[in-house]
Amino acid sequence: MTRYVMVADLRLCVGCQTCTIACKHANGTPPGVQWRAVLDLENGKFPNVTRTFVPVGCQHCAKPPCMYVCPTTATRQRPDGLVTIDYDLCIGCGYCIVACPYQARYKYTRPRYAYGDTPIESEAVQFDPARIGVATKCTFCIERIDAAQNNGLTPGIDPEVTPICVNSCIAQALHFGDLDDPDSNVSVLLRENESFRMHEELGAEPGFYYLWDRKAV
Amino acid sequence: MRVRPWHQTVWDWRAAAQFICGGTGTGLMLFTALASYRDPAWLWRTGLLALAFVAVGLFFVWIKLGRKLRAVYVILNPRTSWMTREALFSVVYLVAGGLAILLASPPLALAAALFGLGYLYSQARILHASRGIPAWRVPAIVPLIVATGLTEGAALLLGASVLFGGAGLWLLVVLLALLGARWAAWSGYLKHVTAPGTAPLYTAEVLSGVHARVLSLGHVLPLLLAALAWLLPVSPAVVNFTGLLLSLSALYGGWLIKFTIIARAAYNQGFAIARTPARTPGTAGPGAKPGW
Repeated sequence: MTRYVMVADLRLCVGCQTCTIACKHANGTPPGVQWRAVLDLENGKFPNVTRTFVPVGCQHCAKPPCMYVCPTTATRQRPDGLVTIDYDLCIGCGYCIVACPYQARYKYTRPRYAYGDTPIESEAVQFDPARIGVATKCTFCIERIDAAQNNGLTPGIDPEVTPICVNSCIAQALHFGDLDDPDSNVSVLLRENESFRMHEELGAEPGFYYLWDRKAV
Repeated sequence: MRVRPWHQTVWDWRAAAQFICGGTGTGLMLFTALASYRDPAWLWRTGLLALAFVAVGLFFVWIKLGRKLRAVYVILNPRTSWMTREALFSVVYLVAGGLAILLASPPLALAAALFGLGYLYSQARILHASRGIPAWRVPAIVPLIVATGLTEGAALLLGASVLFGGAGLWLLVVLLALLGARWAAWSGYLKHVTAPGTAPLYTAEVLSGVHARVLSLGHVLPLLLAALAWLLPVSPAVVNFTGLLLSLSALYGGWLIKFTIIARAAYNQGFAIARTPARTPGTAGPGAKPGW
């Protein structure tokens, strides 16, 4: 089996937002919609204050609350763990949005452009009317992953079939790969480092791991 | 992007109206069906209103859909979605209720009431399944939503009985018992949600802010009015007036609870980290959960 997951190394992320921009550029998301975002999280009290940059987005949970509540079956889960939305089935009820504990889903009911009512050239090219009035979210660049089946490449290793946010990361803080393969890049990272998953207590079993230290030998 | 929890924006006053109308309508159908065994005229008097409430609630849901023309797809996931189950219950509720009124049949009305209870329970479970909203996902939301719906239905029938003639003392007794149940459900819910670590600070703030009104106007006032009307020697006109006020105050309490929970206290989960990273130089530190 295959279980694709994302790994973010919090020690390395510098909060440059390159992944955010790369995602917007690749997926043509309108203003206010961030399938990939990086939080700037301040913690502690003066003078012991830290800043942590935390990449967030759809966690492609193993037990996705959004899928269970979806009344139309528009939200589904593939055998490789990716959670998908069928824009032709979604009625835009927003139930999945309130069911997601990661604030990863968006709905907009009219086209939005960066500069007023007229799209710039790239926005016009990427505009997808199917996304209006329905739920949208990070797909883990599903079309790139699916391309791997045709050309024998490995998602997470070969850039052509790896999510664009991972490719764009200037610090190599983001990693993508198959958790079910014990020799994959993400399995090795998780074996060698301490990690956590966000809101793990909610039981959704998110497919997004955060590294915070090396494991003690 | 914000780090602290913020209020969800996708379910607004229209969603609150749907929960309010659905609960009131299905609660009213239950007590209308019971009253109709003594006098079938109640089916016309308030049965129609009970159907209208649910229909209006569904209309509010429909107008907030992003793709209104696909609304029928809502029935596609009865296996896991309480929204689908709610939609299916609403259909049989409206059909059975409509037939009950047309045929003046109390048994059909009772069947409609049972489907209505299914609808009401589904509403409660819809909120409970919303894992992203701490104020909704607590188990205590289920008895609260059911109790408010039933209380509103009994309250509305009591108000109607003032206008159309008595439905009987039993209704007042039931309403007072339901007010007690609703108060217990609200107290339990509030205690749970405002406990540290259960919901964002904003949520607790908002819910605590309406507590005094829920108590005074939604529960204590109806009890005082009931005592005034039925224990003191007052004229029938005063009894009728206090009965109407009692009905309105009981309705207000339930509607306030639901509007607040859905449209005011629905802060999302926000973000958290279990540990801060060990950057060079430095060591890992404790986690953070802003807004909690």
